[in-house]
Amino acid sequence: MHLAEGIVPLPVLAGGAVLAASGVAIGLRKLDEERIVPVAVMASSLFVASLIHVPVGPASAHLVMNGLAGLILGWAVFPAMLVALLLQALFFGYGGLTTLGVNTLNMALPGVLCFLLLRPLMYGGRSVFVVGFFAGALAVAVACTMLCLTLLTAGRGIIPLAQGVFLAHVPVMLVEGLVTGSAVSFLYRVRPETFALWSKPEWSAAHATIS
Amino acid sequence: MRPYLSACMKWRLKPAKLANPHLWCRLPACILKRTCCKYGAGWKPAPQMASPLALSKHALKSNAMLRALVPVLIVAAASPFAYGHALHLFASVSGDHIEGKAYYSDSPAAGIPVTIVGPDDEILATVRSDVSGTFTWHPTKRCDLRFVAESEDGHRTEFTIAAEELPRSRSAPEPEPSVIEVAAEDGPDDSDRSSPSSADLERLVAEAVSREVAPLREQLDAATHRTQLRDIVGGLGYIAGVAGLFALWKRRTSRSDR
Repeated sequence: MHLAEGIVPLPVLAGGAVLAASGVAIGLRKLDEERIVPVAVMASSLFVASLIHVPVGPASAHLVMNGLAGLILGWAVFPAMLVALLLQALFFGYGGLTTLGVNTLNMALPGVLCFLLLRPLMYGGRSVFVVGFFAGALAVAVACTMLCLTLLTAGRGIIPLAQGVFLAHVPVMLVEGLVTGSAVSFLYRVRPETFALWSKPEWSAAHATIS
Repeated sequence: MRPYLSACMKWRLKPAKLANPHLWCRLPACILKRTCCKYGAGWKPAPQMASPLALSKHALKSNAMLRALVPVLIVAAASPFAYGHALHLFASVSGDHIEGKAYYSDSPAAGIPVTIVGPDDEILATVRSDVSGTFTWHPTKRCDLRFVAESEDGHRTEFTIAAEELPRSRSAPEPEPSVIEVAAEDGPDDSDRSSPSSADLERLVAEAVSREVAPLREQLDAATHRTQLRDIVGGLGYIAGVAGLFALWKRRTSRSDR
C-alpha cells in the first residue's frame, strides 16, 4: 500500500502532495482542542496497524485502518494519516518522503469518503457493525483503486496491477472489515459521543435520542 | 519524573476526567505547572502514591478509545516485529557469480524483476527472483553494479556492489588467451601444478572468505531492516508529543482570540 520512492513521475508526486496538503488544511481547520486527543489516538493506531500483517500467498499485505479512522475523524483523517505515514517512513522505511503526499492522499481520501457516504447510515437504524464492515472494506478497496491509478501513470500494465494490488488485498479487505466493524460497534455501544465529535447537528440530535 | 508522576496522581483522584478529551489537552500544561512549582516555592509532594498499574487501569476503565486500541496494540506487540511492508534487496559476490536475495520485511519476495544497472545507467541484465526470493547473475565486466528491484504493487529498492568486490579476473581484458598461455607453460612441467601461484592462492582465499562471510552480511542486512520495538514506541511517543504541542498552540491562539 505504501508507494516507494523513484517509481511515480514528478508531476504526479507534486499533484498528490498539493491535494494532500489541501486535505490536511481542511482537517486542521476542523480540529479544535477537544478533538486533538481522538485524532492522536487514531494516528497511533494508523501508525501501528501497518505492522499487523495479513498473509496473502507470495505477497505481503497489512492492515490500513483508514476506514475506521475516516468514520471517527472525518476530514481530520488527513493530518492523522500524514503524521502516521511520516513516522512509518522514518522509522520503518515504508514508502518514502517524496511519496508522502501521494500516499497520504491515497489512504486518507477513502476514509473521508467513508465519512461522507457511510456515516449517515449509522443513524438510520441499521446495524452499526455492518456499516463498519463496509466502511473498512470500502476504504481499502478505494485505496487500492487509487494506488492502481497512481501506478498506471508510472507506465504499468493494468492486468498485472489488478492482480498484484487488488487480488492481494481481498483478504485485507475482509480482515479490515471485521476489525472496523467490531471496533465501531463497540465504540458506538460504549461511548457513542466518539462519533458525535464530528457530526452534523441533526446527527447529534439523533444521538441524544439514542443515548 | 516526580512532577510528571504527581501530575498523573492528581488525575488519578478524578478518574472521570480521563474520559474528557478537553482535559487531556491540559496534561502537558499541568505537568509544566507542577515542574515549575517544584523548582519554585509552593511544591509539595502529592499525598497519595499511585502505582503505574493502577493508573493504567483507571485510564483503561474510563477511556473507551484507549480500550478499543488495546487489542490492536497487543496483536502488534505479539507479532515478532518483523512485519510490515517494505522491499529489501541483498547481493554478494560468490566465486565468479553474484548471488542475491529479495525479501519483504517478513517473507521472501518471489518473482520480483531485478534490473542490473552498470555505470552510466546502462542496463546490463534483468533477472527474476525465484520462489525463495534468490537470484544469481554472472557479471560480464568488472564495474560498479546497481541492483534495482521493483515489485508490481509499487515497492522499489536498490543495492550497490562496488567494483572492488568483484573477482580480479573480471579486469583482465582478454581472459581466454592468458588461460591458454598458462596451460601451455604448465604443460611440460608437472611439479608447478601441486603448488598454486600466489595469484591463484589469493583468488582462492578471497573466494572462500566471501563465501563464508556472505550469510553473515545477509543476516546483518536483514537485522538492520527489521522493525524494532523502540521504533514503535518512539513513533507513538512522537504522536503524543505532536498532539501535545498542537494542543498547546491551539490553547494559546484561542486565548489570544478572546
